[in-house]
Amino acid sequence: MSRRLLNLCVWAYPRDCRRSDGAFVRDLALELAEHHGVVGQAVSLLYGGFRERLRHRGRRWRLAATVSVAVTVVAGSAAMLAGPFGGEVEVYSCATRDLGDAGGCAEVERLAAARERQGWDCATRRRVIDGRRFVDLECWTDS
Amino acid sequence: MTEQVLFVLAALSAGELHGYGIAREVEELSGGEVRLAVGTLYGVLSRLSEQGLIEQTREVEVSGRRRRYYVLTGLGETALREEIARMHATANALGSRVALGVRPRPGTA
Repeated sequence: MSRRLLNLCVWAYPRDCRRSDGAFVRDLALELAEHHGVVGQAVSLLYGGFRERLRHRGRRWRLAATVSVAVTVVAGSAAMLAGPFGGEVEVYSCATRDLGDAGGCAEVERLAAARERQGWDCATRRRVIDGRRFVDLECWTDS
Repeated sequence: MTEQVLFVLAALSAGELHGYGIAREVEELSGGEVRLAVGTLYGVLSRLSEQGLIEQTREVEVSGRRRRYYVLTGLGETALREEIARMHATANALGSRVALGVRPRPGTA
């Protein structure tokens, strides 16, 4: 009876755990149950299984997040190196301390304007985050 | 380091033990204060194995039951010694403060 109950409770664990350690966990629970009661061990198995599932899920999410970031970085780097038309790409970025301090970004904008005069195409992206001004300029040529 | 982890490492410092043996040793070491149920014990053993603080040595079948034996690794022994040293230092610091007596701060009396 207790063996069957503890066997059922082992199902609370993720499949990987059950495959590798299921029999060990059940037998350990049976030994402990002889001294501390079956109910306590059954509850402990259910709770332990739930925690183990959370731990496994967390691990999978971390892995997925790491892979996504890696793919984004690789794809971004490849796009930067190749350029939109297989030519050259230059990226300028600047951040100022506050909205009134445009000195650094003016320099970046001047560089981009010079590239445009040479026949390059440029795209500008302006952002304001927490009172700081960010300007990203990407210029490219297909020659 | 949790109390359970500390007691499991301390139990294994005496030598190789199997899962149930660890639970019994922990209960004895703690004077019955720490009782490890199967879910907790399995979780602690898995995490300590992953961290390289303990390692499984063998698995044998006794009376139809599977028993896994574990030993403390060098890393585990170091971690245990460091934790005990930290607890000594904490106890000494608190002990000397208490020995001075609790005096009211100026302006609060």
